[in-house]
Amino acid sequence: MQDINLTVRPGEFILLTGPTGCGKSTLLKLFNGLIPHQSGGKLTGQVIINGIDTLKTDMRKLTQQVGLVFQNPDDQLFATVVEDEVAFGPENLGLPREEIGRRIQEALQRVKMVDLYQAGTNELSGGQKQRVAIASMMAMQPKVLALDEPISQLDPVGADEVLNVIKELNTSLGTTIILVEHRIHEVAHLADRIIIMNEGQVVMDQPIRQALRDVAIFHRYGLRVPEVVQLFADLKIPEPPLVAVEAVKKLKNVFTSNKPDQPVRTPPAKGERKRVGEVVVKIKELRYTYDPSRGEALKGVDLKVQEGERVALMGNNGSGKSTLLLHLAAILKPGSGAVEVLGENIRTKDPCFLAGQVGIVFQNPDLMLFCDTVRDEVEFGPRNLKLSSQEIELRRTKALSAMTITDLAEDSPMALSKGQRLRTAVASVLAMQPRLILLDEPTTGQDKMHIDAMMDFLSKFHARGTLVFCTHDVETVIKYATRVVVMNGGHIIADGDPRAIFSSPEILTRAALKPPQSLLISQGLGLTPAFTVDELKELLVG
Amino acid sequence: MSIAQRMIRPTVNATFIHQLDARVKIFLLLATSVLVIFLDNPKSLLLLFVFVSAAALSARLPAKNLKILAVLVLLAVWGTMFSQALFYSKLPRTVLFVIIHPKWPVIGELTGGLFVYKQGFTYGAVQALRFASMLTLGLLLSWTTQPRDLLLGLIHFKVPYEVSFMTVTAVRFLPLVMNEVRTVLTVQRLRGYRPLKSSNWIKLIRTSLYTLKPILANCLRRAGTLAVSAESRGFRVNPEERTYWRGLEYSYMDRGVLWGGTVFLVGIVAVKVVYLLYFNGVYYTPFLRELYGLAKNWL
Amino acid sequence: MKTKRVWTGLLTFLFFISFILAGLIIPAESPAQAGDPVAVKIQIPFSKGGKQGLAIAGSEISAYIMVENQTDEEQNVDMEISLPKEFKPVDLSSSWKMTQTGDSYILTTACTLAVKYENWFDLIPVRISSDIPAGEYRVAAKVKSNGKEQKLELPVKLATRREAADFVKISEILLPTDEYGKVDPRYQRNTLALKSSSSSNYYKRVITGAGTESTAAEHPIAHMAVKVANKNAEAASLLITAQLLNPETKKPVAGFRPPNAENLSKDEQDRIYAMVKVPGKSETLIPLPIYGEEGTIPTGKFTLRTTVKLLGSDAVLQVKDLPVQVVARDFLPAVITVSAFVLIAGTFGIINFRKQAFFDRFKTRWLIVIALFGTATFVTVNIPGTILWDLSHAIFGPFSFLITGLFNEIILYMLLVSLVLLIPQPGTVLLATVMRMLLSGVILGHFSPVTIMFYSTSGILLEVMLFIFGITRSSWVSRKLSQAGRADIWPAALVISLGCGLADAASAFVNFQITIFLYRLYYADWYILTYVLIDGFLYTAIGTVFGVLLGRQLKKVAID
Repeated sequence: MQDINLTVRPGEFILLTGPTGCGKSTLLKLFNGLIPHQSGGKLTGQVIINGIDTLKTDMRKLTQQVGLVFQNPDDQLFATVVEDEVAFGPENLGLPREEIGRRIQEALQRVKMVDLYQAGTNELSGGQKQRVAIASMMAMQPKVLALDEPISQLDPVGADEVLNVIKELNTSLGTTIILVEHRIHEVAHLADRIIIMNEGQVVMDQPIRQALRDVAIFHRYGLRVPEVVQLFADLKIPEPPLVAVEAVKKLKNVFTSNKPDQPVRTPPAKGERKRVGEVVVKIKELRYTYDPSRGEALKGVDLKVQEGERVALMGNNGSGKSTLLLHLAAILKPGSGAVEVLGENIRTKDPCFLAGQVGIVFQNPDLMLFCDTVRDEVEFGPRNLKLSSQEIELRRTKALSAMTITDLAEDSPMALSKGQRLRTAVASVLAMQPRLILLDEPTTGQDKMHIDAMMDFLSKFHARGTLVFCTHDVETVIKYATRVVVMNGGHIIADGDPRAIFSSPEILTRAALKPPQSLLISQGLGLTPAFTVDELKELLVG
Repeated sequence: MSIAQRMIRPTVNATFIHQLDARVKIFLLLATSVLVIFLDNPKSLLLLFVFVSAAALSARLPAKNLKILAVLVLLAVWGTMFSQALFYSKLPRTVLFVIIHPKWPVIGELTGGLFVYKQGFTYGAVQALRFASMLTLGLLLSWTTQPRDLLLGLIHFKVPYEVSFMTVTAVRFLPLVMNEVRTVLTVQRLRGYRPLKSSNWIKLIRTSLYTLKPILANCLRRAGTLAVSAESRGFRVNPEERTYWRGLEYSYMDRGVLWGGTVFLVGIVAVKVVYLLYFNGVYYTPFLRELYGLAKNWL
Repeated sequence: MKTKRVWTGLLTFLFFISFILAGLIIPAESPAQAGDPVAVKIQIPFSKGGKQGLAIAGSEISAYIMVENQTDEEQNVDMEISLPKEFKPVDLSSSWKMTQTGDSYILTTACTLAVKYENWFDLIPVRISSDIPAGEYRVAAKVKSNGKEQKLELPVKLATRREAADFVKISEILLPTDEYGKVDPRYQRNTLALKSSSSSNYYKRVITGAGTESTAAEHPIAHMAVKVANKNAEAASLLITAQLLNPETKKPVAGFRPPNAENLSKDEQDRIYAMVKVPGKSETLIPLPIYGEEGTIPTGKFTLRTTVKLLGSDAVLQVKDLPVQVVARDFLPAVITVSAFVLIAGTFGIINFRKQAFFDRFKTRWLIVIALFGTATFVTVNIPGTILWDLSHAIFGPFSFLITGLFNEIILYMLLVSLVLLIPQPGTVLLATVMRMLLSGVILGHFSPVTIMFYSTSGILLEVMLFIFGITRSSWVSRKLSQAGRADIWPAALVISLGCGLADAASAFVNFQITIFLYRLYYADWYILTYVLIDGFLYTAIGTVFGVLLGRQLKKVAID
């Protein structure tokens, strides 16, 4: 990091962005004195927070100035109970008990978690955990709250909760917010000012609306702008709004003269899609219970998946989609009902039995890497299948090049970057050449670019194979799924073509899904549902 | 829920045992562990075990927990009986059968023979009562107390703050790490590797490496964020002046149990010590002859 | 040691000699008259002290005859002894001739006494019929020397067995006493406390080549005393023996044999004995030393059988069985337990005293890494251990460690050693051990002084070893461990394996001693040795090598 000059005024909401490794996180640590007080490195210059020089002030004072919130909600909570977590900071400050109590109460109120003050931290949803993390910082009564990609690991509902809380803190309490996020489209409408960093330098620092007039600079650093902004830029309309509602208003004015209601493409209706190939998955009346006190996770699910399909399982947390997915790999055994995978009843089978037939990429790909080198990792499965050495080599070469990690073959998987680790994990599954690939929320905590690359490959090279994946991301589904299964409370509530299903606002709400802005705009304009900017553009200008 | 999950999860209920202060429970556990060391008499050991079991029953634990407890107790008792049946060295002892004959070459000479003694079984059963009581009370404690209360109790017992912070963290990540282990094993299976089905110990070591590596790598990554999060909340900035939000308050019941327990324990230990002094020829006074008798018959 | 042995040997010898001499010198019942050419002494039954004793029906006694030349001339002596028919000589030596007439046996023999004070004597074993009435029987003797005849008549008092037993009675057996037979009330009655039950001597003997056949102990391990009352007017010469028996089989227990057992007949070498004369109408306390061989004496319940016989007669007057308890006071486990306690208290005391300095060396990140490794250890070692260990213990018994150790020790040391490689600081292992201890306390309820001692000793010993072997301080080992290439790592890996192996072997040994002391369990020495070597050393060393590999890979982990 070099030559950073930055002034933040009280009460500002700053969006700090930039590509991976641009120095955002380092900057955050400077704010509350973690650098240089708790870590090494060389620092020149001054960091002054609220008139306090971080270099010359001790940590205790500094920690009360800037609160830090991180990406993974699990990795910031120590306590087993919410109240203890929030009390942690004030206790460290040595505050009297009454004061601690007051602060807990207040902080939890701010994040709307007062009712859950006695809840176990392990039982909370991602969004709730993240709000507890924010509360635990707010209990320190910081003037500034710095958040490092706080929503990247959350489902849409959780992300909304968290963003609302952040906004609320900014407007009602006047807390200065510094939000690090590369998904600008998710948060742009909340911020006042945007700072783009690249390679340790500030490359742009402007009020957000002003900044978004120039889309090119975002693209240069591989950043996505909100769809509305992109649409307006493409349509060459100035002054882009940040939310769909505003866009609809503006667009209504622009396009009233045009004839917008011309469907470009009729999405195939539900159930019409040709289902060829043999049945890969057959589920009948599947019921499953983890813990009787919490009720059934699956309450009688029927599902058939045919070869070549790419099925997206969607639904909010606790809808049962992950439970269903785990049955497909024989990791869970049906409580009642039957699950047949590739013609075999899984009830009596070990997951090992499905090796080579079914591959699964878990939410945390790090747990899938245990060999010494990437090469070993990719060859591990084929070796266990006792394939010939030529075949192993062939598969390895293919999988490595598909995931563009051929040059990393001799590296230790653990030493790789996050995106490379994901690709190594996927390569290790691909090398098995499974007929059925399962992905458990692969979009969580990963860069969109990595996800797209992976999904691209899977839909192209694995075209004959079958793909079942859990996700919250509507865009990914539109782009890659041939079919979507929406779950709610252990039931399948919708099953069919993605476009048809997402066109129903009711289903979107019940599945707690966040519709893309393009869809909202097209619906707001009374057009045929459009799911991407390009589609919408086509609808609007032909 | 798996057995392991059930073992580490406390229950919530409003029984007498659940409501006792965590410190009182730790005290009772420690007191009992001292007691079992001092007690020798089978009658008393059995009585203690019956008492502890009754306490466990009164906590209205789920049937499955009781089942786990019963299995563990039985296994521990049988294990002790087994080892004592082989190594019992008091007389009289009756050989039930011979495992290693003392006249066998090399092994016989080295071991001096290995027999299964009838009296060893009974002796083992009696001695195992100590383990049974400790095991039952231990699980009763962990199943009826929230870990954070126990930790708060430990802080009151002057465990350094850093250590109790580490323990809190370790407890918090227990379910997560358990899930991770399960996931890693599943990943291995899905890649055609049977991690646990092998009698080949080299393979078991390999499995351990395969499993520990991703888990520990995850721990290392996680530790970075956790440390920053803790430090940005003032962890260790002034350990001397740290305050605590939650205090533990003794209720009358707690005080009663605490005092009762102390008096009982001190009494038993004192009598036993006096008896041991007499037994080992260190101190004897005729005044205490009644006491010696009592100790001989019951302790 | 050696002088003491000689001394006791000498005393025993003198004790014996004095008995024998006493029997010879003190005059017989039939005194010689002045002027007789030969003096004649006859005693039936023969007894120490020379006084005429009591004969008991149904017993075997010895008749004693002695002649001595009182003149300066050569004397040719012809002897004739007549015994009542109820006194049948047995095993008569060939120099005697025996004829039976009516109601008596006539025994004749001859000898030549050449010079003054030359003497001749013999003992004639005599069996007394068992069904004859008590009373006085007469034994007559005729001695002719150089034509001059002397006649003697000797009354032999005969009692029935029951009568005799009434005369002489064990009134009390005291145990343990001091060497004078005095009871010390501080000691538990009827209990023998052995100083050590450890059979480490056995292995010492094997190693030093002294052979596995043990030698008897050199001095008594305790004393007992037998109080004997003699109601008879005359003194009673008695042989008192004591032996420890298995209470069920009533067979003697090996290990309790006096050092001078060679003096006794083959089948009597397993008992201690005393020959005493109890004056008439009195009660005498007879102290007896108890000998035992360290290492071979088992502890437990025994029967102490005390037998009273009339000396010179095989008639057993009384047998008294006393249940006694033999307890071992093996000091090794106690000493080790106490030392372990002192070590633990000392270590934690010092750390507590210098708490701030101790913790300041650990960054927060390190503390959290140690905590999370603690969680991982708990999940992969403690939880499976709780279930698997018990299960395999139930199936394989004490040998389950051969199997469970593979899992537990190897995984545990993989974790510990990789952690030490990541954080090569003194204190890392101790903190990790404390973590494990607290987790098993909080989660499984394993709070007890014994578990605390187990964990702490293992943590402290390992910490010490790692420091000594140069892993947690700057040395070539630590440099090699952190920098050497894969092929270069082996010497350092072997050093750390040795260190960990030794530390774990030592703590396994200490744990056994604590268990033996506090939980009163028994383990054979060879079992402890096997456990310490395999589970303590071997498995740990293997786990350590893999821990080095694991630790070096973990160092590469990218933190993002």
